[in-house]
Amino acid sequence: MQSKQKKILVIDDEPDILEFLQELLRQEGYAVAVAERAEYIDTLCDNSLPDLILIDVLLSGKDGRDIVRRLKSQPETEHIPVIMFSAHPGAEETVLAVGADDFVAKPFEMDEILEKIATHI
Amino acid sequence: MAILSNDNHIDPELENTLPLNKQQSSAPPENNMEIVVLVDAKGIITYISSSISSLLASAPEAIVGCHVRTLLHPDDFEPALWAGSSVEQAVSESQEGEYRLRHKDGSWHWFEGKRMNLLAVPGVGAIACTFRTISQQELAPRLHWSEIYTSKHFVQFYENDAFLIDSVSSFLGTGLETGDACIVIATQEHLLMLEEQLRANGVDLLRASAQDKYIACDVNTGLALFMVHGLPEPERFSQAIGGMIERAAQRGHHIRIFGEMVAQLWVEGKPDAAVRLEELWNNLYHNPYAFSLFCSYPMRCFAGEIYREQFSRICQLHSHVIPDESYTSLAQIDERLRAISSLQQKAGSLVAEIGERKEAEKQLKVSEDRYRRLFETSKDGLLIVDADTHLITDVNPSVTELLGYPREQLLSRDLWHSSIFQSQEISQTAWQEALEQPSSRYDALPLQTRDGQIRYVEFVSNRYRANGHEVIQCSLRDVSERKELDKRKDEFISMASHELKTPVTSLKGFLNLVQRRSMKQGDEKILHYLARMDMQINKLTALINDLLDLSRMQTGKLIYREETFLLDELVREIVANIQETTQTHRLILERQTHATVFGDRERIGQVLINLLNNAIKYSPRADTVLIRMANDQQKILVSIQDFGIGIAQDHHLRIFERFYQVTEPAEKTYPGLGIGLSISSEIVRRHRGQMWVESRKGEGATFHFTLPLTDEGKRRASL
Repeated sequence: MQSKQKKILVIDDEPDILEFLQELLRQEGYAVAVAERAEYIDTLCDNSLPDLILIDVLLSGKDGRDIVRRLKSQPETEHIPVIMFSAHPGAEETVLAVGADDFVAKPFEMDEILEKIATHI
Repeated sequence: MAILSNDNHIDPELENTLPLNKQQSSAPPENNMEIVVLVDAKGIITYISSSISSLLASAPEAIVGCHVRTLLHPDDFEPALWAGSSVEQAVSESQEGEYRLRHKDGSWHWFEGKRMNLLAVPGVGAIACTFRTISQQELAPRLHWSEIYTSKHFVQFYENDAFLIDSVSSFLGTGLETGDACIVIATQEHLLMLEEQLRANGVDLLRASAQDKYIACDVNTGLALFMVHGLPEPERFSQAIGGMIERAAQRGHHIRIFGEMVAQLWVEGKPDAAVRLEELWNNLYHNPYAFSLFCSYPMRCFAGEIYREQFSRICQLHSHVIPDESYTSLAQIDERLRAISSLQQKAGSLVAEIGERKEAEKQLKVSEDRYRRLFETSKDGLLIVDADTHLITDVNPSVTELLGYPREQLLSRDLWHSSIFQSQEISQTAWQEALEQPSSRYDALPLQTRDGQIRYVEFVSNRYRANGHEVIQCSLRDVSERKELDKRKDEFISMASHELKTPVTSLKGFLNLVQRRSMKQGDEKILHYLARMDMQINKLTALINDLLDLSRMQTGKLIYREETFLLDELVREIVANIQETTQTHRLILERQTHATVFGDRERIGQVLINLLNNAIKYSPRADTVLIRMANDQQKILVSIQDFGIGIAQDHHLRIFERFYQVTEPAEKTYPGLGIGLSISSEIVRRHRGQMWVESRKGEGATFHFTLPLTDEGKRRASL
């Protein structure tokens, strides 16, 4: 078991996806915060910064890639690993281009997500 | 326009543009001067050439079926030869003579006749007669002015002035009456006589003159305009006389000219200059105005044998020859008449040629009209460019509509400097290519319209020769809408697949959670069911991905990754995965190589999955699928063999087409989208490989595909 629980922030506009990811990641021993809205990111403060962020590309009115670009351009957040997922398999290149650390195509296997998280956290 | 050149040959330019001409000049042996008649053994006319209508005013159909005695004069008609059944023996093989034939009005006309007995010739079985006109009626009076008006350039020979003035005043008088403009270039003496006669006929010359409808000029004044060193100077001639014709053309739709300049030169003893001038007149027909030219020569010019040849030359330069008045008397039929007659026939052949050319012109006009209509109404924009000057010579309404420029702004322009092709680099390249290459093609070329918008066109250019000129024809088909639709379809499929994948992601996520829980509880049965569900979800995902791939392939947006990988490894992996999904078939990997290939590993995997799934799907009664690999120095071959229903030869190529389904009753029981093979073969093609099938109906199928080896693979292959 980890000495200190790692915090993962998951942002997706689909509540079902948030629900099962939250459950699964908790079972794996992570502390999980989920948000449907991208604005949640703005409310993060120093002591609540996650150790890893999982974020969808299309977020009902917001482009997840814009958020990642901003996170990666700010000194306080640029170190946080970001994994993006999308139902567009072609999105991988654009996602990596904005600075995301990894990409997972939807629909994904749980094991695939867990493996990727483990490599970045 | 019909052009008469002095050697009676078809103008070479016309010949080039009119492939019809050759055929027409070798048309049936009949002509307007000859009547061909076929008569059967009983003396009944079975055929008569249509020339009878112009020579004897009778309709051919009125004569066919009649006895030959209704056509031939009783004195020339040999009853014994035509009557009864002995005709065959009575008619000699071939006979020539002079015959009178009946005109529709009851009068008799003289003809030279030739008769051939072809009764015994199989397929003919008739007496063939040809009658060639010689009677005086055919020589002079038959040439009514109405016929001559349509003639371009004709000559009248005359012995006394009154006869000539009579003809000319009739020629000009009818012209002025019907609204034609007239030009007279005559001797002072003839001019006075002519004008007096015209006035006597009731023509208001002063008024016609004031309206520029009647232009008169003294023959010497006329000649002085262009004669240089005793010969007509072509440039000056066309300026002076052409200018006169142009002036007259503004007043009348047709122009009649009476000219004595040639005769004057002849009288002055300059036959060469006269002949040259006749030729220059003939060349004037190249100008855009229609005119008839009446020339006259006094017969005394041709007295004596030495002028025989020149006389013949003069005749040949005209489309029509009207002999002099001495031939109006039948009593004077003699050698000269025959000479004139043959000359008339020479001119007659010119008339026939004019007829042919008119027909050819008509054909040309029809085809020109047809082309023009196509050009004007084409929905595709058509742009004709001169290959030498690069200037636009013609555009159709679709171009002006498409680009927003009025026609006048495009004509005589070099598009190179316009913004139409300048806005984007690809358009510049395309235009350059159109100007330089024999042909070019672009599927969606961006062009800038007058108001700065970009329209996408399918652009095709072709260079060809027309009328001795290199032209470039460009066709522009507006595909902006199609492009927009493609874009929308692409976006739709992309969005649809996203929308389909979102619930699938949730299904899979919750399924994974349930699987974990069941694993802890050790419920094998539930775990089995969940595995089946998971597999079905994977199939659904694969279908959604196929749809997306297909759309992206069409728009060229499918991205291929490139990496070097071991094909063996990939094949083993895929075979193992598929084996897990089937209990009915054993997948046997028979042979492997150790080849590396360069390409998109995942996409090649997709091809293998597709072929293996097909092999299983289409062999429900078999239990084996064989996978073999082999390589040579250049490429690697993968073959997947099943023992199923097979594919008939007819479908071997088409199964790789998009949405193609074998629709035979047995195959209908195997539903599918018909896109798997299309995607697979496209992926292989993009890797510079090939895919094909070997199969016979009912005997299973073997799908093969090749992939090129990497350099490393080739090196290993050669070891």
